[in-house]
Amino acid sequence: MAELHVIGQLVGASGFDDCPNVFCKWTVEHGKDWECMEGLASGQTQVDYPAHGDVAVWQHPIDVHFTAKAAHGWPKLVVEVWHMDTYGRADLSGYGCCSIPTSAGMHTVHIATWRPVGTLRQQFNAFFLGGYPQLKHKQLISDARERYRLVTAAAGEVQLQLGIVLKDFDRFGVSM
Amino acid sequence: MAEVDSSRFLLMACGQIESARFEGSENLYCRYQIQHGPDWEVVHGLEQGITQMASSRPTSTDGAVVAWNFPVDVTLKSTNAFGWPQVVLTVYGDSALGQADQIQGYGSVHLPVMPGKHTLYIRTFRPISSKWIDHLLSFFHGMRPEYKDPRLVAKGEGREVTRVQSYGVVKLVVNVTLQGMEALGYHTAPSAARTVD
Repeated sequence: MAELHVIGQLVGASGFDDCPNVFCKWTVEHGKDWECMEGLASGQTQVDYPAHGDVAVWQHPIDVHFTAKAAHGWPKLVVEVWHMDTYGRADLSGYGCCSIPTSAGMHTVHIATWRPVGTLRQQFNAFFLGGYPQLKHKQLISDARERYRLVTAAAGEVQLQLGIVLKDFDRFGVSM
Repeated sequence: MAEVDSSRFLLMACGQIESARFEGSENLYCRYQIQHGPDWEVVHGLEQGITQMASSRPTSTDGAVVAWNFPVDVTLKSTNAFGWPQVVLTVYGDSALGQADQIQGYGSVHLPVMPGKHTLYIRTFRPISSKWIDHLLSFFHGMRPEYKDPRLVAKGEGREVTRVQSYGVVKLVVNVTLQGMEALGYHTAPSAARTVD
């Protein structure tokens, strides 16, 4: 069986102008031929309250070890960025997803995030009371099939630094 | 060159903790620790070290910079890439009220998995207290909250409860050499780079 190590960091986020006090819930999704052997495949970062600017630092370590019976179902990283508002409530900032790079070595990955835009009434409420619309079905973040009815707005960017170590893929004739 | 045991591989990291930028802090020192998984073992070099106390110097481009140029040279062996070593940095300095050894920032980074020279910029952060009364007290007596165990910053668990304020950046230059990984079937560099002889 071929093996994949994902070693790196959720470095941080930028561009969440409305409220830069953000944290991130992350999870690695994979196909059914893949299995997570060791390490955490999901987690939640710290909340950064940057003194100035809109760059939040998480430096959240990732170290996951997968085994694979097939190349398809290659793991994806799904992120949900949340912010802490002035009343200490957590509210949604953005959703995003990226494929784990398939070539070995060091990679800097940027995820452009988005959030759903609700009805006019929901936008009005969110502006005055907080509580942005959220997705009911989170699989939409990484699923290409059901997106077409969705209306979204751009949110900030999440930065990752990933080191990819592959083992035995070439033994099965998989070129990376 | 000595052969390694065929079931193991070696990771050599040598370089320097080059410099740091902490606006408004003058005298700083840094402590590094190598944090690794259970399959890893240090075979050569120091697993932790403390730099000298360095004072900052204004530069034209980057603001006030402290130079440590502190050598890091460590070799580890392992059978498994999981638990890849991390460098945990803890930066201490004088507070605004002049108390020594106040925490300025925590940071961590995995050593690069790819052989070669790497320049890493590690953005650091410090915890902020969750209670407003502690916040107020730390404002008056100038003592900052610290982590009991700095190795927390190298862990993925238990971070969701922590609140931090990002502050400062440390520059780390490290050269990574790997020995015996290819023989175990591992690939750590892109295939284009591998085929060039």
